[in-house]
Amino acid sequence: MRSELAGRNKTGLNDSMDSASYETDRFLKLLTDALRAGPGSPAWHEAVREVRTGGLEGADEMRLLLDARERLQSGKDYRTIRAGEGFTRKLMGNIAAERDSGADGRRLSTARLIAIVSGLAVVAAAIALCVMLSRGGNNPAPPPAETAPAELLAVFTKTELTSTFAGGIPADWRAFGALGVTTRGGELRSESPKREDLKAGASLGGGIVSVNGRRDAFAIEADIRMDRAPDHLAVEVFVADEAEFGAGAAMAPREAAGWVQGRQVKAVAIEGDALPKTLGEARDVPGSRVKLTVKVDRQFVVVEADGKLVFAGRHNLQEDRPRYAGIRFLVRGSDRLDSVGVERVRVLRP
Amino acid sequence: MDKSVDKPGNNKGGGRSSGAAARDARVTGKGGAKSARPVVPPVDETAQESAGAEMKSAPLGRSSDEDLMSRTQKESDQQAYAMLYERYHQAVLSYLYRMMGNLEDVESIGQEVFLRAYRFRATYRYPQKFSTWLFTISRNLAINYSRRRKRSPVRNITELNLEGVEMSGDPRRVAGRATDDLEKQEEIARVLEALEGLPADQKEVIVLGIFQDLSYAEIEGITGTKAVTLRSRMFHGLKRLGRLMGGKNVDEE
Repeated sequence: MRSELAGRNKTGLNDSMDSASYETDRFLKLLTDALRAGPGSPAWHEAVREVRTGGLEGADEMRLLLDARERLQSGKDYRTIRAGEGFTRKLMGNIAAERDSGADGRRLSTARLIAIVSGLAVVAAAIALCVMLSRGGNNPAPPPAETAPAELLAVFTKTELTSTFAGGIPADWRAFGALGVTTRGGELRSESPKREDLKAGASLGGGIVSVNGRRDAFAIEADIRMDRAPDHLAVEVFVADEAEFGAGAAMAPREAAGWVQGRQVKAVAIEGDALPKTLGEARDVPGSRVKLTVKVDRQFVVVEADGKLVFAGRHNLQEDRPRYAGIRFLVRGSDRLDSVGVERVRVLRP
Repeated sequence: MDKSVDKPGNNKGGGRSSGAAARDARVTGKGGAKSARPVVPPVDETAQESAGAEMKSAPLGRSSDEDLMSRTQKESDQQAYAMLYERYHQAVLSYLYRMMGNLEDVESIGQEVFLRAYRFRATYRYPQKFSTWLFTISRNLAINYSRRRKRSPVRNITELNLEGVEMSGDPRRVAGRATDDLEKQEEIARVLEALEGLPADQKEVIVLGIFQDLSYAEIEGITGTKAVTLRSRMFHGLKRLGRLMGGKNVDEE
């Protein structure tokens, strides 16, 4: 069989025949057209004539193909099938339901839906990328230093007052609030609150506030020690525009403050008993001590931790009122309160 | 069966596929299977003529496939679609039966083919031939169904609503109707039986090209396979059948 077929190179009917043969060999094209068109077609008659009279090698093999095709033609009824009434009724019912449901033939195919969703995802990613680039990449937005005047952002060099607590609370300060403060070990610390004063979930506050009010720009700077920094104890370095404080947390009506709690420092705006509003982002405090500074002028406040900017922007204090600087402890429990203390407080001028 | 339905070649130019459908319909009639006609919504041609000026000259029965599809698309015309169904259901169901060989599969896929063709009618684009578009849907569904069947071979028990099966599902009965020559009957039966053993790609081109009477160009449109490759598959498929018919072992090569 193989040797017989191998001799048919003239017609291309060998076993290694590929698709390209049909494009170049006239007889092959005629034959395959005849095979598809079937007995009785012009192509069929021509192919049969070629096989009979063309002197082709391997004519028997081609005759076999034509015979197979003829038998298929005779058996063309094989597996002919029609729909019955039930089949058609069911289909037409489904189509009527489809039409009544309002489907208009434009329903999204799964592939198209995936394509649309993918496209939207790409567009969203591109937009997000543009936004990130316009903001300077992945780095968090820098503190809005431009919102405070340059002199407030500069280092304040003139020391107006330095207070330490080796001999008690200095005369420039007075204590306030329900939470008592004490001086031990040269530090200002919170006293342990009385059990009956601690209300569940509420903070009890107390501290010291400057006796004299100031109208020009100044800074209050506190050196704070935090050995274990319990979460139920916070220290606040604040500037208020009046020296009257409420009960409980002992907040003034308006304050701009730096706030240390746990191992984090942040800037807050206080409006009486309302929940303090955090300004900017909280920063971690790396060591067991932090120098927390709050600088104010008539309109702006700058909060720094160890000389690094935490927040700069407008404060909530009334512009025409004097400023009172202070230190406040806020507690929600009585454990380990001596782990936090204020070692020194300074008031500075630009 | 009225002439317009029996001659789906009423489409523009009278395509081969429509001719095949017509031939299938005639065969069924000859075979004397159930004589009940499929239930399609009645076609009110008077109403069609009043539908618009362009429709007046082409009542449903004489409209081309593409015109009917256009009406189905624009007006969700179920009567126009029913006419297309009438023209093609036999060709599509027979194609599925020849390719899959299982009536339960044909039943469920056949429903899905015509339902999807209606549901996604907006995706049909003229001047593509309607028959090519419909056979593409049929082929894709059959392939997907076969894949699922391999993963989950449990068959659904469904009520069969198909006709003409008994008369054409057996190769020997088909051969017996084709000729009185016993030797030829044997050869016809052998060829038909051997068809089931062909590689799927060769069987597909023979079913579409010979049984469904589609041109190479149409098969190319349906399968996405180049015509030259289809010719090659046709050639080798028939050669294989010829050898089986002659009692030779194909593997002798």
